[in-house]
Amino acid sequence: MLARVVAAAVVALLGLLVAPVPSALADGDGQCTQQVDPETGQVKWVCEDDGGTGGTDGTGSTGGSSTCSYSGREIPCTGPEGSAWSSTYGCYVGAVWDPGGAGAQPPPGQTNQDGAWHICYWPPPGSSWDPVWIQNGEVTIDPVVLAQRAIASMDLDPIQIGIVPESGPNRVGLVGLPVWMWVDSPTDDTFGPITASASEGSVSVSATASVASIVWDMGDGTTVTCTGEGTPYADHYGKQDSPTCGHRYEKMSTDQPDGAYQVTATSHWVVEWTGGGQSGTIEFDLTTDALPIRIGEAQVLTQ
Amino acid sequence: MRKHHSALGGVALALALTLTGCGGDDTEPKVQDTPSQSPSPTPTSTPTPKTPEEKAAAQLVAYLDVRDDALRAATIDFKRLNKVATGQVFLNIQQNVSAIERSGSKLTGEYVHTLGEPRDRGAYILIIDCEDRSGVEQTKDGKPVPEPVGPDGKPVPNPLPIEYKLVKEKGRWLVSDQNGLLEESC
Repeated sequence: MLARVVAAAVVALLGLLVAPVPSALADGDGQCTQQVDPETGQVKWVCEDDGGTGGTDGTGSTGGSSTCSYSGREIPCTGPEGSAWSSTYGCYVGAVWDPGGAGAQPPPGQTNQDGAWHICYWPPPGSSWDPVWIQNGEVTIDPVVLAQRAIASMDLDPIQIGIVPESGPNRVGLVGLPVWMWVDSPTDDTFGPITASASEGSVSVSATASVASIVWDMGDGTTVTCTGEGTPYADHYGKQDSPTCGHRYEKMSTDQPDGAYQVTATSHWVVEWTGGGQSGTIEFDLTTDALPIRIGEAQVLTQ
Repeated sequence: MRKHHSALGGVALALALTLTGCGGDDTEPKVQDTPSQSPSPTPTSTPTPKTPEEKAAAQLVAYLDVRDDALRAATIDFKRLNKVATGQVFLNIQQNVSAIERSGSKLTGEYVHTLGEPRDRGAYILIIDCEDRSGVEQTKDGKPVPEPVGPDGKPVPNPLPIEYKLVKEKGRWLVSDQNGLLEESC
């Protein structure tokens, strides 16, 4: 019997069934986990949308992601059931918990008015599956929540597009000639770095945000990724390529909607935060409105 | 379709121990040799899984065994869990176990796990487990606990495909994330 069961398991291990399936775990576009209802014991599947922290102002933002660490190890940024991170205990402090309903007594020197036994959700590796005595007011807020508040207070915006040829009804660039792109009039809240803090109770978090890269969608099916602010064009550059961030159109824009390529710039923000015993990184994108750029062709007459 | 019966009983426990090398500090699990058509009473060789996919699958089997034991016992053996899980899965199992305990419910019986083909994505490996809970009974105050439901409040299919993500940490594949494929079927 043992041999038969083992054989079955081995075959299963070596791989069987299943055609390729789209994966939320791979794509990060929402996943479903089971949670047990602490009242009824029933399993309830909960599906979350992708997006992490997302944008801070809701305009032009395109999702985001977060990573958190504690003592040099990457850990989940949030705990189950709204539990809050405690740097004192190194765990996510959850609901009041009295295993077995035994009416556990407070530790020596404490009373039931001073605190309560709580579930501690341990980041890996775990040690003891026992409740932890938490004094009242000891856990206030998850540092990740404070980091998000700090980011929101920065009031970050998409960049202001600088581009030549310029946008406008009387402006036309030429096929094959250099296009220069840059961040026009960069400020702390469009390019960073910018630092802000948020605190509640004894927990304080400081966050610094910077644009790590800008993805320029040129409207002709190509994207250009630039890591700096770019170089503003000046007449003395003539027909040189931009040394930092440029493009060349290969076709006229006459067959495009409104006869123009729709150019957008998506700035990728990276926020490093620290506080409450944790540190982490939050990333998200902010995208500009589309800017129409007209591209034509030079006609040469010969006799 | 080949199945792995997970139970507290001796056979499955022996299987789990064999598959995972549980109890030692080896970083790589071991798998029993496939017996011949004339099976001997006890398998004699224990080759180590060679490919990353085989190693990851062995770790997933070990994780499911730890998880199922934890759900039934309503307690967590971190010494075992630390060897097979990390990330959100590590927290999720704690929520599940503590909520079973808090609800005063009791889970008995065994899940049947059928693993699909591992998909190596470089930094991680994805494996779908077709989880059959037909043999699992959950009661509270002597009455059956209602069947698992999806976000829409409707019972989820049984068996249910659940995709697991395994990442490699310090030379060991660990289950880090899961995703119930509620719209798929096994």
